[in-house]
Amino acid sequence: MADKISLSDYMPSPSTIDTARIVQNREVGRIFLKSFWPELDTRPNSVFGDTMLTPWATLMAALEIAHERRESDLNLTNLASGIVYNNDFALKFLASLGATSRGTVDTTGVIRMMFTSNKQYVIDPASIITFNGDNYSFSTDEGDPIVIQPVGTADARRVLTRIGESQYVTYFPVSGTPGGTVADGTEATHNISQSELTSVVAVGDFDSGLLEEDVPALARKANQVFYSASLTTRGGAINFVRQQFPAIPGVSAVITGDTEMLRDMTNPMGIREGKLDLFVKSRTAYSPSEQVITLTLDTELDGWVGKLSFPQPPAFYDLNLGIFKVTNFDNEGSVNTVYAKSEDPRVDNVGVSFSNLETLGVLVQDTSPQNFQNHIISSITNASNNSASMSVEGVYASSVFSNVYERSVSLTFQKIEIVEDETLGSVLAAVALAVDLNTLETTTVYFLPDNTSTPTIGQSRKDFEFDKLFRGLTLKINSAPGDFVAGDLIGTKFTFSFRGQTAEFSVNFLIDPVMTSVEGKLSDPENRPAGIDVLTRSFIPCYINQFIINCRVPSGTTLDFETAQSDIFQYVNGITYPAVFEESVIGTIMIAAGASGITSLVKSGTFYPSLASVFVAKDGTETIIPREVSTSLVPSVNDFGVGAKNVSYILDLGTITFNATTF
Amino acid sequence: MRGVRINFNAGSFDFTSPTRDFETSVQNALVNVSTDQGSDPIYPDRGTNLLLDGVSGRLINNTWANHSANFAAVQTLVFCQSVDDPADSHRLSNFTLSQAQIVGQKLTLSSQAVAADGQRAGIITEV
Repeated sequence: MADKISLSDYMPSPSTIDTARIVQNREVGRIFLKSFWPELDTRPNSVFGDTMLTPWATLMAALEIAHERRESDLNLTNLASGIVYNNDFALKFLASLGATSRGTVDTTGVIRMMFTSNKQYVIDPASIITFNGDNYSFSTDEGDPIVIQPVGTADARRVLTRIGESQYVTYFPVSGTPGGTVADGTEATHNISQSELTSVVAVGDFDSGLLEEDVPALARKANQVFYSASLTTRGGAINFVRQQFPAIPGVSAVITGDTEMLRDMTNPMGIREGKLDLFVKSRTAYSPSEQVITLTLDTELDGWVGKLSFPQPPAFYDLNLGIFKVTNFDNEGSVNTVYAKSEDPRVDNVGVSFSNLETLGVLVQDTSPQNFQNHIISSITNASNNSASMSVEGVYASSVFSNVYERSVSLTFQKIEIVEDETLGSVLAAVALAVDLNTLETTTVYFLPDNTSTPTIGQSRKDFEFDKLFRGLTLKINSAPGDFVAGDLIGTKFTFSFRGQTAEFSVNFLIDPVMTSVEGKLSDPENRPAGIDVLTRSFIPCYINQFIINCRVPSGTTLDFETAQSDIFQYVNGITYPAVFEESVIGTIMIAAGASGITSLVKSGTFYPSLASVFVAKDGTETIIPREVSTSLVPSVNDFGVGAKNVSYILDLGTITFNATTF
Repeated sequence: MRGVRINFNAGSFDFTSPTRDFETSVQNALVNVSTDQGSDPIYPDRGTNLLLDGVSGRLINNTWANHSANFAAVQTLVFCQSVDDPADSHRLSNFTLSQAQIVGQKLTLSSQAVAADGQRAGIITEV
């Protein structure tokens, strides 16, 4: 703040001073002087009145106005509305509130890079992506160098996804000069020297950011408590996102204690831990995306199974192609079941849906698969110096949560253990550690004797752990030809490989491109709050499948259907908390389009707590995830974390229909 | 009531001899007569059109001069009464300008002011 107050900076032009105010001040001065000099003539036309009191009253009015203006510059509401008298003072005042100009907010967006080969790529982080002459760069969070891993690589920041023959893509958030305009689908030029990189394309319209912030913009930030824009409170979290992504239309925070929060379990001390789900929606219409996946045949489930590995969480299905359309390339008759599980070690429910912590898997029933490949079991190598042998039977079926359709494994016997078996009772089992040599997944396999008196062979016990790596297979072991002595196997190691029956399918879905950017920003250690677990999610969708507007139109009036349809589309798809669906808005839109009003609105929508219909708990327990059909478009009380704070609506233009009656 | 005396002939203030009581009201009335109406942005009704009429050539003869002076007197009385203290016995209750005579480039007229307490003052001056 300034050390010295200069009211002269705020003095008005004399001609702008209201004379009534001067007269009023003059009267105050007159009364004041009269108390000291009761005989003094101060009337207009008097010498003292005209040469002293009137000028003093005028100056007093000017000083009052200057003071009012300074007070105004201390009023955030006035500053935010653009009433600024002293720019320098206002900036210093706002700075004292913590609302300093950050200079500019960059243009941000998401690019899709497409390669021809499935391999690891190393990219210079200083690479330049150019759209319409403006340069964009990768975030420093991406690492130095930036490494893109092949399809299926676990625990990597950027992994390729196959979307077609010799087409592998990955997504990156980029930022550039403020005020940039890049439309969805725009192709970029770049200086990346990877010959396999065939295209760099904008995914969704870029957020133009903000130019240098002026006083009103800063005041609005201060007024909205931007100085507490941190991820530790509901309002702070929302402000944080809005500060980083000014154009984002929808952001809502769900915190511990909210009915929508399903992650806030108590810790062993009985204290609820701080959880914050940040729901974001960047635009009214999501971007379509697709990928090609390889699924494995599971004869037990009578279908093709596999994990849906998305570059970022899907916001919804591509309904134009059916409910979560997973097809082989010609056949659209597939019947699918989508499964979900939580990757959060401490959350085992649907509270992680529409986030990176939710893994989706699919079961597809299809009798005419494309690019079918038969199953293989390799020869088995005993890496130990003994006479133990092993055989593998069956067909590897992978699982709904795995996209690993072939494995190379080592199996090392580590110990013996007494286990209870329903048929055999207490038996001595040989326990082996299995390791997938590619993915480094591990599991424990129990080999039980075929009988308790004279065991001739040990057979793998089929259980939840076994299915992690060997679903569909049966492993049989001899410690010596025709014999099974569990203790003799300790230290024995086998290596072998196998693959299941596979076919290729395409998956069509919708994404919100800004999710990648927001997640990237939140993963920055500088932004991550201590003690608060923040999870970025897409809003839980309510897909509206019926929206019929019955309205009356005066005779001779033309109803502007197109405008009404467009306005309703924008309104409904833009609703996020704290806004709620209001029929009166539809009425207002219809009146503006030429109707006299609406007589009724017939609508129906379905809430999807997850894109999956079945949730699989960590112990394998399956729970049906209900989809609530609602004619009010308001979620009812439920146990699946769907509430006013985290729902948004998806309404297709074609669903909006009108029944107009002329009178 | 006390005020600074104006020496109209010399166009100066006389700080040695203040005006008192009814004199202050009379002097204020004379100042008002010679003030152009509208020249004071704070009091738009203050002043008269007499001086303006004079310099703009409207006072073509004594009749017109008397006519303009009468208006000036009324304007002055109305304004002074609007700013005077109603409880002041020395406030202006009547004010007249008469016997206007155009002599060369000058206008002479007689002025008479009456206070609320009946005190009278008559001054002849040139404007």
